[in-house]
Amino acid sequence: MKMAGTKTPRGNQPPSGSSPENTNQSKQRILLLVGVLILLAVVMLFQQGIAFQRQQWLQTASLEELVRAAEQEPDSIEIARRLGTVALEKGDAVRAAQALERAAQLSPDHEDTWLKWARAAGETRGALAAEAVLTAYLKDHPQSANTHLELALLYAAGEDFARAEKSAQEATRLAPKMVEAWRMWGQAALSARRFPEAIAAFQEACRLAPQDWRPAIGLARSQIEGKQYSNAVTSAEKAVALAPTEPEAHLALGRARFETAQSPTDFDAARQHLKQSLTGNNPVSGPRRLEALRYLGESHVRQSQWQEALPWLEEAARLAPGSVEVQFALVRVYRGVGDTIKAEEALKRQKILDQYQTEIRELSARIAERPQEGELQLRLARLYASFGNFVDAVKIYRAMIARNLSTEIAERELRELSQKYAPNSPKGQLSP
Amino acid sequence: MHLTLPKGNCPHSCRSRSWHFLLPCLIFASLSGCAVKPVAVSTPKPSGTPIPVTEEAFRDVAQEAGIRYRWSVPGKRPLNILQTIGNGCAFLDFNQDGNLDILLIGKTLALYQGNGNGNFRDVTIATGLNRPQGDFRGCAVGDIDNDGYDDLYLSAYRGGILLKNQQGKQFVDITPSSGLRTQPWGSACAFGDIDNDGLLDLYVGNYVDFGPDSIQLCKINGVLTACSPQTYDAVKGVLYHNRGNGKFQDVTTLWGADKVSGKALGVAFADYDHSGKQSITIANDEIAGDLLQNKGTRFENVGQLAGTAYSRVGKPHAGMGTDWGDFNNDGLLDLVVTTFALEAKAIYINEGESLFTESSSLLGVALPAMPYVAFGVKWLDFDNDGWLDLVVANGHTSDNIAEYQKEQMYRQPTLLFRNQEGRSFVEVSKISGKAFQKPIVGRGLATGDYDNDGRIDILIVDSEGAPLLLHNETQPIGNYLSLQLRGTKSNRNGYGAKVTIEAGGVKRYFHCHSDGSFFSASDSRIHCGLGTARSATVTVLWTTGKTEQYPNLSVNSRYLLTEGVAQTKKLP
Repeated sequence: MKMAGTKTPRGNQPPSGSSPENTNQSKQRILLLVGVLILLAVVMLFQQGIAFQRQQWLQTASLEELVRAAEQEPDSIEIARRLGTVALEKGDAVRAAQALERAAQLSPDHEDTWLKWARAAGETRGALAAEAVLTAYLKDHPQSANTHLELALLYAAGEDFARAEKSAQEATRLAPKMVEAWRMWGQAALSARRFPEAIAAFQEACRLAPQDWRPAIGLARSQIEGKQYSNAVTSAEKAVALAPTEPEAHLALGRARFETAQSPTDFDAARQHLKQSLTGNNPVSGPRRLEALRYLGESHVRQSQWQEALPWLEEAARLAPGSVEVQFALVRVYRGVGDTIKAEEALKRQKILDQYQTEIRELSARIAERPQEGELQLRLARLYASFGNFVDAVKIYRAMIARNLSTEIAERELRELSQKYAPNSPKGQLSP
Repeated sequence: MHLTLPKGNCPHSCRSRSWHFLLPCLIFASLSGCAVKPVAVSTPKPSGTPIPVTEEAFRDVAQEAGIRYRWSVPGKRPLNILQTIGNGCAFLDFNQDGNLDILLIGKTLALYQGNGNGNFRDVTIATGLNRPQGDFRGCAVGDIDNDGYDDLYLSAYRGGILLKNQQGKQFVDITPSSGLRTQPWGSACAFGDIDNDGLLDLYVGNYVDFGPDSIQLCKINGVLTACSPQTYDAVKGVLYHNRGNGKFQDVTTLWGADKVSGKALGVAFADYDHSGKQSITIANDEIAGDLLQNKGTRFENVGQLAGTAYSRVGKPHAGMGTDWGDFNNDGLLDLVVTTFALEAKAIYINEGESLFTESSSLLGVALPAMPYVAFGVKWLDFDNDGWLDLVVANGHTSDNIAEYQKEQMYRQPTLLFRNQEGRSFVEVSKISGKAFQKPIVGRGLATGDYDNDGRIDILIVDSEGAPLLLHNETQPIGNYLSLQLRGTKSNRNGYGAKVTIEAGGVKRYFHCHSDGSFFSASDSRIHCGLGTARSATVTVLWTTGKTEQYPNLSVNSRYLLTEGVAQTKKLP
């Protein structure tokens, strides 16, 4: 029975076979819905297109364009971040630091922004500023392995290897599979002459990245310094196998082979690798070149081949006239070839250098224990200056001034040093 | 079981001619890895029969021999550099009864009289050695007045005393009248005749300038511990010339002995350059070592020129103990210098013409000894095979080292190296008795045949424990010859005399001395292993320049050779 005036609930209406009027209404509604959906999709696509275009623009925008954009949109995270990145790439560290600082304020959890800000801050205001940025981020994000790693790099650059090691160690704890962190730990420990720790860290890096030659070299280096020469040979051989054209790998293998050499054949093999590190398109340079030259010479000294040793050691002496070790070897070689005059000269140099280095070691050891004793630091600075090492002398004076340590004397001696050795530079300043 | 030794890869001694050496040799070879390659460091000479070592070659008999002494370091931990430097010891025959006695140095001195049968009696009070007061560290033994009895110099922190031996009965302090001064930190000391006047002169090394106002402890890896010597100023040693009648004169500057580095821990006299004059080597801690070449009226420091000042690669190392000995039987005295952990324990081969080559790596000593902080060291032929072996006492300088270097220990084992016919050394500690596995704070070390059984024994200071008296029980053992020199025109001890012993077609070279090692003094009798040789001809070049020959001496005997007397006297 159908009751008059009673509405049939919509849900109870049959899907078909109803009245044509209802059917049309229904179709209209569906079409409307579809239309709305299409419109929404179009809008979304449009918006995405704009975002894509914006991203594209951000990627290609010049520094100047980004600066203008940042002025127009000071609260845009993307623009601030991109501006900072580009400025950092272009070497405009001041602008980079400003932009990245803003980006970091706007996105306090964005790790990459903070890391870049730290780098920029470091370039503009020094390591302490960079450290402040990184530690600020770590305060809220103590689990950020990348930040600990960045901190380790920062400390290592400042030759604070103890803290570098600690930070790298923390990074490995948080991210046990992060090869870079293990390498950093190894490197810091190696620099701090903590060889067992360095070896262990590099071994883990090697395990995680068995095809990477760099940890293998680090391991070989640590084993050489830790006097585990046989193991060093194995590690260096692995490094050479992974990177046959890498001169560092050949240098490590040459050193390790030299240390284990017992026979003429062994020494020949060591020399072959040492020579290889000095040849090719990308030979070792700086201290590594000195090492290669020195041990090529030493390998001949060990075999009493004085004449053969001479050119290598003389070149090493030219490269590092302040190396007491090279002079020591040269004394023996000159004696070996019967050149007593040159032997005497080398001996004189060796004695002077030895005295100089001994004093430096002793003063440094004392300063480490009594960092507030200005007189010790002054003595070290004067010692450096007297041997022409102005860079380190100036560093000490400046550090003393910064720390308010015997400031008056330090300032006066720094001034005198500047006037004496760089009289033509503005205000007689030395720039180490 | 059939065993085949790889030819050419085995110690030469394993290719023995006698079948009865084969089994122990195979054991030794398998334990040692049998991987000693010949190296071109010296030309080996024909040997006597090589003697393999056996298990329990050495046994610590200190307790059963009657030695009741203990070093201890009272006070707070960690220890500072003064507390951790340690002490020395000596084998000497203070009463000239032919039996070695034992002197132990510390704030409390101890003298034990040996009866030659392996037993000792405490005679500290009887000899008056309970009386001296001081922070004694090292000792030198020598007859300063040629009265036939060995006198003592005891180095000390802020002290140092000369004790005259009164007929083997009492020691009397004659320092005030001797002209010897108090030293800031007397360390290693030694007697030697610098001008061949027949009177023993004295060198006293000093260490560093340290006192209550100095930095006491340093932070290493964030941990407070004893500072390195680099933290302190060096103090140089003094050279005293013996003017006779117990009087000494400071000739340090006059003789050029002031041109040294300071921070001395080891000192030893020797005529290393066949000049007929006694030169001095000084092992210095973390600073260039000194070789004072005797030019007749003054010394010239030739350490850097000669190559003994540094490690093989020209770096200063932590020189601790030192000893001269001709380990390769080439007629030239070679030098050993013990060093810190991760430093090669240096063996300087004497190439002649005052040129030395550090060869510990080639000789196989560097790596086994690398982990240890080494102090006392002596050349000794423990198996009487005719080649000088090497013993090294170890112990770290930081009592809390394990807190900041996991791989390091304060107490460390003693090392024994067997000489492979002058070409290389094999570490045999692990097969030479439990005493070599015992971790100790090793410091002073002396050698001597205290029971006259023809085997050299070893006395070691454990800075925080009892002394180790290692009785040599090596079996089988080669023949030997023991020679006591008595100078008449040269100094009575015969110190500095050169002794050549020819036996079985092989010549072996010695110099008479009791100095060397670390803060210690050893038996001055020449003990020469002869392998299977049955007789020997001995030539002595006295410091007066006179040469005397003693043909056809019987092996396994002890002789007294007196300067100017052609006849030898066989000792019981």
